[in-house]
Amino acid sequence: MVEKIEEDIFGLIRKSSFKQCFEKVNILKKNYPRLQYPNVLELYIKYKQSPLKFDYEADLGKLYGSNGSIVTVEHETLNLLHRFFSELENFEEALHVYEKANAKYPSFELSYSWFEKALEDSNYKHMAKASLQMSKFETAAGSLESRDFYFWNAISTIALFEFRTHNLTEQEVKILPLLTYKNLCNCKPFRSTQEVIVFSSVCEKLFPNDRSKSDDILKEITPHLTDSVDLYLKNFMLKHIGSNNPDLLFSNCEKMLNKINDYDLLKSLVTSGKQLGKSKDELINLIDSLLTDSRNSRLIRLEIDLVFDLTISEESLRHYLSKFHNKQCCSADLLHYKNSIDKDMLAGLISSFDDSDVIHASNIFKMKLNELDSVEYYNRHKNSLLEKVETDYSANSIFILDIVKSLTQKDEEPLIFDVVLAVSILENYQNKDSHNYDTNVWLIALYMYLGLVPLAYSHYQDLKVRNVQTDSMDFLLYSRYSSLFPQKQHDFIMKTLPEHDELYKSSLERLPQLINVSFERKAYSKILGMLDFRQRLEKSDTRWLKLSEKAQLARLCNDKRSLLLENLHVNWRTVTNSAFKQWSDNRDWSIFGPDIDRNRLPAVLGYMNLNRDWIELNILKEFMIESIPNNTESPKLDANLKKVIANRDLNEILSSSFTTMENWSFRTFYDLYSNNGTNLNTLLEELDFDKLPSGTWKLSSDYLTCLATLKTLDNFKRITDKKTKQLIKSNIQNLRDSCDERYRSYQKLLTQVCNNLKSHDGKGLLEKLEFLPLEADSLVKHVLVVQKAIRNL
Amino acid sequence: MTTVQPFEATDLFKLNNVNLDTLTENFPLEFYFEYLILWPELFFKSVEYTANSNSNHDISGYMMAKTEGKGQEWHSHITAVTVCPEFRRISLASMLCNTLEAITDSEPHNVNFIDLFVKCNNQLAIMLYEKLGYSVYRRVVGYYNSNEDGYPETLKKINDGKDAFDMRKAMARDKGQNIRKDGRKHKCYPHEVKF
Ligand SMILES: CC(C)(COP(=O)(O)OP(=O)(O)OC[C@H]1O[C@@H](n2cnc3c(N)ncnc32)[C@H](O)[C@@H]1OP(=O)(O)O)[C@@H](O)C(=O)NCCC(=O)NCCS
Repeated sequence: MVEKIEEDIFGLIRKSSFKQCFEKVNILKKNYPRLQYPNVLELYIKYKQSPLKFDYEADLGKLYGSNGSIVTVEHETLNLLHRFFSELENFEEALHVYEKANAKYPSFELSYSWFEKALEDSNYKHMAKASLQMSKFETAAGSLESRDFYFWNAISTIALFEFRTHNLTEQEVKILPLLTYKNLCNCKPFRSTQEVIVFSSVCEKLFPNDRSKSDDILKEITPHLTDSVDLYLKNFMLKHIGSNNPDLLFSNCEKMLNKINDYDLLKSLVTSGKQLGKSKDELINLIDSLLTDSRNSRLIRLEIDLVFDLTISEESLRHYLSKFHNKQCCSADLLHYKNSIDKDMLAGLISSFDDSDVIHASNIFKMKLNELDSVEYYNRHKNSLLEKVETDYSANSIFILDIVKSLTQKDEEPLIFDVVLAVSILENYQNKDSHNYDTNVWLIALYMYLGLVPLAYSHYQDLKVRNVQTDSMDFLLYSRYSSLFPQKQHDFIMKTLPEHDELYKSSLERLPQLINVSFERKAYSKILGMLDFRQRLEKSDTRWLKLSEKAQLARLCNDKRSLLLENLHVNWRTVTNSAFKQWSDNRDWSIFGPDIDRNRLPAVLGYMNLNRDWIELNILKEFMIESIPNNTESPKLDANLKKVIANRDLNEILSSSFTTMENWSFRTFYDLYSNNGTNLNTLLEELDFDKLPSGTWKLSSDYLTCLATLKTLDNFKRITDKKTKQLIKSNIQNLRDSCDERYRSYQKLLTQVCNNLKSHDGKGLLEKLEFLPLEADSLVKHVLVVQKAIRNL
Repeated sequence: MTTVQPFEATDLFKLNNVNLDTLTENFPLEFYFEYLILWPELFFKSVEYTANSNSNHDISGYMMAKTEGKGQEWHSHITAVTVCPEFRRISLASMLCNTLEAITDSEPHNVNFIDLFVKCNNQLAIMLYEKLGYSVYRRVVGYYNSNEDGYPETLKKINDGKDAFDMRKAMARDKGQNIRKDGRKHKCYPHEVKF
């Protein structure tokens, strides 16, 4: 009953039907005179009705805040108070209501709700407190015993110290580790490896560099090392034995290497062996008797050389190369040791092996021992593409990518001719090595560079990116999407985007529940990773850049924005709910190869060069746009802007992170928001459509950013000055009138470039590779698709 | 230079070099979490020290496995094993399988055997497992049937592209009870392989 009315009331609040809200609350009050719930709900409605008039301390704090007079244990009321305080960004009080309730009317259920809410909020401090409270009850839920909650408490405390999301007092820094340690010691003997892992983590993470705690760890893990194999215990063992006990380290490593092949174990075996006075040969023989002949067992000889002689011998290198010269790992392995390997010796050795294999050649090429260039290597080995199994990947892609990168990877803008040539090469190659994603990601990026999103989309489909993978991959396709291809009827936006959004909508929302289950099922070792994962997904750059794009798309298409903005506020609140706000760039830049540095992206990848300033300022731009019509101050927004700008010069931030048009758009809204639009006319006069780029992604991006801005301005009733209004309207008209011509010229340009490919420089290269030049038709057709999407806006 | 390390949830952000592979499944987040929660020791990865230091791609492969079954049927099951192209054909998959064996053939798991399903036409994978000591225990008819194919009605109609081999490797404590010399001749329905 209460839930139903609550639902109704939240619906009415959304519609601003406050009178009806109060009527409904009065019914509740009458029906449930003893409940606190209707009173809190009434306050909440008051707050929603006029947030600025709401007197926080007098209306709410004095009653329900930290020092408030009322303590309630009603489940719904606590829930609502939590929501209420959170909306006011009083996150501490939001959880404090639970703490207070527990202090006055302690029960297991209540402390469990406290823990759940704290987990929802990623508030590790309250999780720690709540779990300690839970441990006080003998009769816990299901199969859990009161001692189990000390492990919950320990994990929460480690999270608190590791992630530092909330401030800690000096006192807490001192006391909490000791308390956690003592509580766990009281739980001995431990009943599972998972419990041992929690104890060891407490010793390691809360007492860094404390030798006695290392001894504690060793005492607990040692009995398990003989009869079981656990990877966490292996790591604790390696880290905590210390250099003054080589005997123990050596014998433990030997024992474990009997069971698993692991380089960490091998390395420690070698260093401790040397300390014990064992010779090189003794160690080599021992390792060969422990392991089957493998990459680790051959690579460790290089390491042994280094430990004993500080240089890598020809014999060890030959031993390694004889088995791995034609395996892809070879170049990665040897480049790792490049400072200790004599280059001439390596070149001599590797050339003594059969060179007919394409992988052998690619290794030589990657180690820069090549005598031929990438085109020559490709030609020499291209026939292997005909023999390979379809689902295998060819190392020929290494030569192809070298050619592509030398054409396009520059600090300055590449020539369109070179980009189209590179696309031709990649399209031809992809036909022969269809599943190769190293080449496909470049093909996608180059199509995006050209502004041909539908073509990029179709190649992206081949990658079958889905589920959690979308968070690290979607930036290839969805960076700036609202200003590159805002075609809402296309699968690009209608199907794939919502499918991928499910990760943030449903999976992210379920995470607290799943983490809770991890506590209950005692999967302790995984929980810290899960907590970290959740924070990183919540604060993921990709997630936020998509959210800001969605808001801009809605403006561009004149869609309703109230729900979207409400959502944006809720999400924004969750990321601000921690003292140490950290964004997480989960975008996988490595997918473009090891030579790509995120901080110095080549111009050809410029469309996805969105840094944190860009993302945050664009979100705040949407909030500014929201508040401009009311002409009201927003202290929260001001504070957020201040935080992002962080004593830097705003203009400098804008010119280094935004395109010129994005910069103009931001300044325009900022002027309206913070300066009452004093400079609006000047800003509008600044627009010079002759200067819009004539092609690539920049054509669409500038055009649409400008259009979205003008359309938004046009919708502001607050702008009443006739001249300004006229200026906005005429700019919109001029821009729209120029659309077709702009894209027609771009089509002509691409046609010209494709023709040149058949006749000029490109021809020679394509012929050498036996590749066909790209036909202009396909490019032109897709420019038209983009043009049609844009023309109608 | 491979070390075997526990798989952590955050590793899911850096698996593209492995998971963009066309034959490798990208499971829903909840599925990965289910494995992390229920079998925390049996989800692990191989990590390369020699990967370029600029690179986010130091994970070369991973193993997702579980334990299930009662009594004599108590065993571990390989759900996914996969290795990225750059580190293939150097026995990493074999190493991951051997590590699983080392872990589950000892305390506290002590399984009787390890099993896995492989498409009957995946000759490559079958070869890999045979080299590691696995052998066919039975053929699961229609294991990979799509919704359109429907549930198999008979065991007589076989199809290498739709049927799976249930391959097993028995541990010493199993005393050979879960191995069959003529496994390829034994056929069963998909519901019979649920534990
Ligand atoms: C199948 C897969 C896991 C093999 O990984 P790997 O680390 O390269 O395998 P190994 O090096 O341990 O191979 C062991 C043996 O398997 C066979 N094998 C593996 N890959 C092969 C290939 N591409 N072609 C032919 N034989 C192959 C060989 O007999 C090999 O021994 P050899 O190299 O001494 O000849 C890997 O290719 C992969 O991840 N594929 C995609 C996912 C997949 O199919 N998983 C298996 C599903 S059941």
